[in-house]
This record gives sequence, structure tokens and C-alpha cells, in this order.
Amino acid sequence: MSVNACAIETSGLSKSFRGVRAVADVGLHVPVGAVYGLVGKNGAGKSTLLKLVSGLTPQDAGAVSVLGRELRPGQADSRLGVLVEAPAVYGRLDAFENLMNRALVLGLPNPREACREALELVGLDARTAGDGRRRVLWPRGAYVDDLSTGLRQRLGVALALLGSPEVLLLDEPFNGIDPTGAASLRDLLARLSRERGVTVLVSSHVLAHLERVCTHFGVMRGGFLVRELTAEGLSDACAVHLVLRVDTPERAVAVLAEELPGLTVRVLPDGALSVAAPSGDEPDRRVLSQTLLGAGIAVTELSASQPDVEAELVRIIDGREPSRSAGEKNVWGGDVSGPGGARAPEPGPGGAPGPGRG
Amino acid sequence: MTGLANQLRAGLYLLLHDAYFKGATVVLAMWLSAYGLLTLLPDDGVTFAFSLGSTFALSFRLVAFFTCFAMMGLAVHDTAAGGMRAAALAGRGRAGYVASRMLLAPLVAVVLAAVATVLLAVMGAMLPRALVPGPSAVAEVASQLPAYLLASWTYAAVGMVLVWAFPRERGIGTVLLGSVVLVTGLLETAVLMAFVIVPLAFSPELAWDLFSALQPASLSMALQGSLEVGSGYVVLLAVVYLGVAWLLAWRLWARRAV
Repeated sequence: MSVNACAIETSGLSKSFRGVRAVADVGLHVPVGAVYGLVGKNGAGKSTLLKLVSGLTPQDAGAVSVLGRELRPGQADSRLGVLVEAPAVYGRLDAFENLMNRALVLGLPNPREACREALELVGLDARTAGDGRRRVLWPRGAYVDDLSTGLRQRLGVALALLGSPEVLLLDEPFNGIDPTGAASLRDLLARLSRERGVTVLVSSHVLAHLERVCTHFGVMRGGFLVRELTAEGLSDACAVHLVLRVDTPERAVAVLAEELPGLTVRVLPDGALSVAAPSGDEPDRRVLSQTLLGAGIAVTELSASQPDVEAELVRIIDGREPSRSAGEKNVWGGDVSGPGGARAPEPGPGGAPGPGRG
Repeated sequence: MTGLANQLRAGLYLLLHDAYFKGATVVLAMWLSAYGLLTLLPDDGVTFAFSLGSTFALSFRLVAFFTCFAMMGLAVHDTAAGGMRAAALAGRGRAGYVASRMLLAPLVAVVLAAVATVLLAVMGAMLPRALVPGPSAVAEVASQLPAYLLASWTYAAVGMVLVWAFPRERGIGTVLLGSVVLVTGLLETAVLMAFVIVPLAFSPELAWDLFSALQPASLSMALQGSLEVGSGYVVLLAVVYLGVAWLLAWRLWARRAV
């Protein structure tokens, strides 16, 4: 499989529930080995998208391909490990029994060992604490019904990890997990991707966790996947940039594109210009001012700004992202309007697809 | 077939850990034991005689009831736990899940019948006032066993379809009621009555004729000897119901979001 091959690829994926659109025309591209963070507001369609990809819910239209194999609507792939919404667990069984059941369903050759390994990976095994005492993190025999949300969530992740899946789909895996456990889970996802080449598609509202672990991001809004970008691209967007106010923004963009082609220039929603250098360093203010003044463009304000990744993601989620400059490339190296483009039509009024680019 | 074998193994594992199956086995054993142990009461004017033949016949109905109870219970637990979600991700996925549950039902029936038979044999040998019938009588009663096992399977299959068709959180009350309604033939009678209720308002004779015509479709009536049909007909009827139930189950799960 080539470096840029997609572990998960969808096209035109759509699903409605009783006439209410949940996912619309989604073209998702998750590269092999990536940790792909799916973000968006409540009701944006993240969970439904994960269910469609995993085959738990059949789509109304569109195609899903996992590791090069196209799946029929409602068809699952045993190479997937899935935790969507609440963990599917039998409340009157203990954790190990739940894992055993899943291991038997999957036909794992050594189910008991696989269950122990999964429990250990999510920190639910019995282990020795730093003070030398045996600390039982998961009381054997305790019904799952009697356990906290966080422990159940850990069990859900353990269930998804059973059988060493090549692709993990995790929906809100950090829900209810304590800070230490969440950090461990985050590190585990990064380690699985780095060491075992596991592709992870994870949706979460905890952007701070995603920011640390994700290599790629997808932003959903109103059922549409409105943007796909790499962590690098996101970092670039968060590099120090200058915010300028000029009397003729469109002309300034053209002048800067011609005179200083290395700079990335965006027009912000409020009409100001954002100018960033490819190195991530602050662009030279003097050169910038002189270039614009030389072209007869008055600069009324010039200041430096550096948003953090979380704030940038929130801006995209809220639809307050700046318009793109000409020639800007999408995250997979292609033009944003090219085939399989990462940009979906913006939802129009009343939720109907807007006239945006396809 | 590997996928189905895995699903069957997992289903069996769940069944052995499931309270409904354990409860069904224990209560069946207790029920039959209590029946036999009545003969040990002091003879104070009322004599309890333990007739192995009649108890054997009774145990068939109990097996049908508890098979239905155990499998409906497993389906209830499956529904609450998103059992299909786990199964859907494995080999043979949804079809494997349906098939595994459908194939577990006869296994449960056989296990319960074996428990009942062993228990009755032990009690027949040990209880002082046990009335043990002759070999020919035992053989005659035992010949009904296959039809009852098949009917147990059918009731359980229909029960599971009913649970899957209305996938809400349900408890033991629903499972008990469902098993009673199915195994006693109340559901079939209700369905038959639904067909004749309108004609009854116009012509009682027509309603009776219609009722008589539809009666042979009742598995419970055929099984309990209310209809003059051979055991071959009972088997055929059970197989037809079983096939329809399996098909319905598959249709229910084929495209359902889990």
C-alpha cells in the first residue's frame, strides 16, 4: 500500500433519519497509519459517520472503502475495531467475560491471552503499584452494570482493541475517563499508530487531546465534512502571522502575491489580511509595509497574532475560518477544488446544501 | 462456516453465563423434583403417587416453555447490550448472529430435555411410591419427544423474533409473559380469533367454518392433540413456522442500524 493510500475512504456518503439529514455527501480520506481527529459540534454527524463507516448503520447513498475493500451498505469489516457511542457490553457479565465473548465472536486463536492484553493496554489489568502493593484496577467478577462510566469506557476501548485491528474507529473515547487515564489512552493511540501502523479515526469534543495525538483532522458541520487538514497545516495556520488593515484588501492580495510570492495571504472575515511566512516565523514587517506603500496601498493597522491550535479548530468548527488565498493546497497535496477535494458544500439555510464548491 | 462457528461459540459462552438459561434449568429441575417429592409426604388421607409416564409428558411442555424463556431472555440481554453490534463486526456478521441464536435454541431444548429425563429416571428409581410404566408405554410417550423438541425450537425462534421486532429494554416479566402466551397457544388463538371476529358479527356459522378451516395452522393445537393430525403434520408445521421466523429475523436485522 502506498504512503498516501487511504485506510478509509468514502464518497458521497449520506444518511437521513426520518427525513432529517445526519450525514450528507461526505468524502472522507483517512490515510493509512494516520490518527485522524473528527471534530464538530453536537449533532454535526460525527457518530453517524463512524457508524456508516463501520457498517453498523447502512447508508442511504454513497460508498465506503476500508483498506481498499469497498463495503456494501451495512457490511462490516473484521479489520475494524469499533467503539461508537456507549460501549456494547453485557451488564450482567464482568469485564473479562465481555471481552471473552467478543474474542470468541472474532474467532481469536488465543482468546484468554488476547483479553488480558486488551485489559492491560487500557490499564484495567491487575498490576503492582509503585509502592509494591498489588493494586486491582478491575475487580474480577464485578458486573459491568455496577461500574463507573469511565471504567465502562475503558472496557469499550479494550473491546475495540481486541484482535489487533488495523483500523480503529473511536467515538468520544475520552468520555468519563479520568485525566491520567485519558492521557494514557491518548498515548496508546499514538503508540498504536506509530509502532503498529494502526489507523485511528477518533471523534471527540476534547480538542486538547486531539491536538496532541492527531496527524489529520476533519471538521463536520450540519452533516457535511467541511474541511480536512493535516496537523502540520493546522500548525501553519497557527504560526505567527501579521494582521493588516488596508484600504484595498483585494488589490493588496494581488500585490503581495506578485511581489512576495513566498507569503501566505488570507482575507479574514472582517476584511483584514492575514499574512504568514512559510517558515512559521513572523514575516518582516518593514518589507511588507514598504511593498504595500510602494504600490500606493495605505496600511492603517499592523499587528502580530498567533492563535493556538484549539482556537483555530474552534474557528473552523464555528465556520469563522478565513477565505483561502489563491493556489492554496489541501492537506493531501492536491488543490482544494481538485478530485476528492476535502471541501464539501457549506450547509445552506435550513440545513439544505448550499451552493459551495463540491 | 468459520464465522458461524465463532458466533455459535460466543453465543454458547453467553448462554452459559446467562441468568435466564441458568434460571430455566434450575426452575425446571426444581419443578419436577417438587412434583416427585410430594410422594414423600406422610400419608394422611391424601396419597401422592408419582406417575413417571404422566410426569414425563408434562416435562415436554415444561421443556418447551423453558426453552422459549431462556432464548427470549438471551435475546433481551442481547438487545440491551448491543449484542448485534459486536456480532456485526465479525465474520458472517448479521447473518451469523441470527443463525447462531436460531441454532442455539434446539441445543437448549435438548439440554433441558436431558436434564428432565435424567431427573425423572433418578426419581423413578428412588421414590417409594413411583409408578413406573412398562417399556412400551415409555416408548410411546418418548416418541412424542422429537415433535416437542421441534416445537420448543419454533416457540423460541418466534419469541426471539418478537423481542427483536420491538427492541426496547425489557425485563423478566416480558419474557415470562411472552413464553406463556406462546407455549400455551394463546397467541395463536388470539390470531385465529382476529380472523373470525368480523365474520362472527354477520354469521356465526361462517365464523365457525372459518375457524375450523384455520385451526390446522395452530401448532399448539396440533401438538396437544386437539387436532386429528399425525406427528408428521406437527413436524411439518413446526418447520414451516421455524423457517418463517428465521426469515423474518434475517429481514429484521439485515439493514437495521445497530
